[in-house]
Amino acid sequence: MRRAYRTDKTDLLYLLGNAISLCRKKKNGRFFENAYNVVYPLMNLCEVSYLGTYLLAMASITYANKAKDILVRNGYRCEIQKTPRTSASGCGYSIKITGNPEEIMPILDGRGIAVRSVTRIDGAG
Amino acid sequence: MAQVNFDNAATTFPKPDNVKRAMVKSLKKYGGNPGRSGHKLSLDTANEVYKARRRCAEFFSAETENTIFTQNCTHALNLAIKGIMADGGHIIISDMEHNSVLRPVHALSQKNCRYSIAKAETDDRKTIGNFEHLIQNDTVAVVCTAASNVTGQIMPYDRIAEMCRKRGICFILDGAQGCGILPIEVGHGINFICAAGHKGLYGPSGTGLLVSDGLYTPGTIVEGGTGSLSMLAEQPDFLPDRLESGTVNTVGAIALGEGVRFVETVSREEILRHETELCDYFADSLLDMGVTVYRKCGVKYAPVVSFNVKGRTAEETASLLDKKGFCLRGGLHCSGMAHTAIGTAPDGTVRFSPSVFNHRYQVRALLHEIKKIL
Repeated sequence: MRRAYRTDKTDLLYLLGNAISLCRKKKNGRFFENAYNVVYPLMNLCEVSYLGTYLLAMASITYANKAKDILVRNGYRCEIQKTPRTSASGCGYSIKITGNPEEIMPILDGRGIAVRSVTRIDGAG
Repeated sequence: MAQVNFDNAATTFPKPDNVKRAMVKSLKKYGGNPGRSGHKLSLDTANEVYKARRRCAEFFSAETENTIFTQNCTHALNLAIKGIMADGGHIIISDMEHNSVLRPVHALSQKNCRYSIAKAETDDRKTIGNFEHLIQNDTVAVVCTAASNVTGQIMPYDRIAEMCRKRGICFILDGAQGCGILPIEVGHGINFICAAGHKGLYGPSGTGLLVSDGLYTPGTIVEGGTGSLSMLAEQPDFLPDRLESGTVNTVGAIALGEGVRFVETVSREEILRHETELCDYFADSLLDMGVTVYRKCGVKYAPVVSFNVKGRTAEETASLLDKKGFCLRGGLHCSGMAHTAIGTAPDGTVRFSPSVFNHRYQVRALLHEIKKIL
């Protein structure tokens, strides 16, 4: 079960600390460990930036609540909000979630939850 | 004088404490309209209604979205029966059905439907055979009660449902007297369960459930606002919205969820055991007194006992007992057809129906009063 969000500030501090250690070239016999501890968070940061924030539009409030139920049990944090009026058919509710849709959608598909549309809202992509 | 309610087949009273608390809390905290707005009040209320819906769904082994809140069991039955029979055809009911089944079916017969009535026998195999015998090429649905609200006779609903499943016929179960005590869930041929929220599920009045297995998409008899697809003139084609127009009874729904939680906590089996024990004690004692009790050997009964005191009408007996502080229902119990079947029409019977909150000493006191009026 992987989190779809990260405490980016913690990762950044951790990365900074290890980078400083490397730069100071501390002869503590832990060069490779420190190098790993710089590279690994950098990789994670790249992955974090790959995860977007999306609105998954549902048919109704009941489906939105059911989808939220399922996603929370799978380790995601999400909230329900009214679907912005971009659809010609009108009212509905969406799940706002940060994650990778390619991982999220199969979870919902497997439980018979139809997502009407997926919209990225964090300005990227 | 404190009244003792032995009319729980009409509605259970008292209600469990958690149900009362849920109603007060809903009125104080969850006053939004669920599924309409995007503000916190609406979303919080929607979340509570959803949790209640999910609990009710799980109780009947159904999907949450296939569990519809209704006003009562009659409303649920009308939705199911008229929804399934929207295109006409033939429908079969039993002769023990409540008017909430007979009347909508009879109303449909004035338009584009036909119906047949299957006799309920003491032998379940004969009952099933009677249903089977009435099936025609255009039989669309079978409606059967889980247990009679007059005699308490438990119908072989599971086997009738299985028979329907094999023939591709929709089976609608009237669970008014069975939900909360009998093992009832969707599947195995049971396509719709109609439940009274305020009886064996210990919810408040004004609540009911229509639980679907999702195989059928019924036509609608009420259309309106659902908070979804508002630009479309057509009613949504997905549940629960399709069958839940207008604002749901939020206080009732949330409290009904707590009623189901109460039943789960105590357990259906324990509730049935307790109530059956009281009914058996009552029925046996009445027989010892020479009172007419409408029960037969070899038949399984839900916790309902119908009886009549010689020389008095059912209404008179019920009225006399009411003056002594005991609430029983005398008359036809909205089931004239059932009374005709057991030979007690048109005067009816006095009906004794305890709940999990009744006790043996109360039954003893009731028997004492009945003995006085013999």
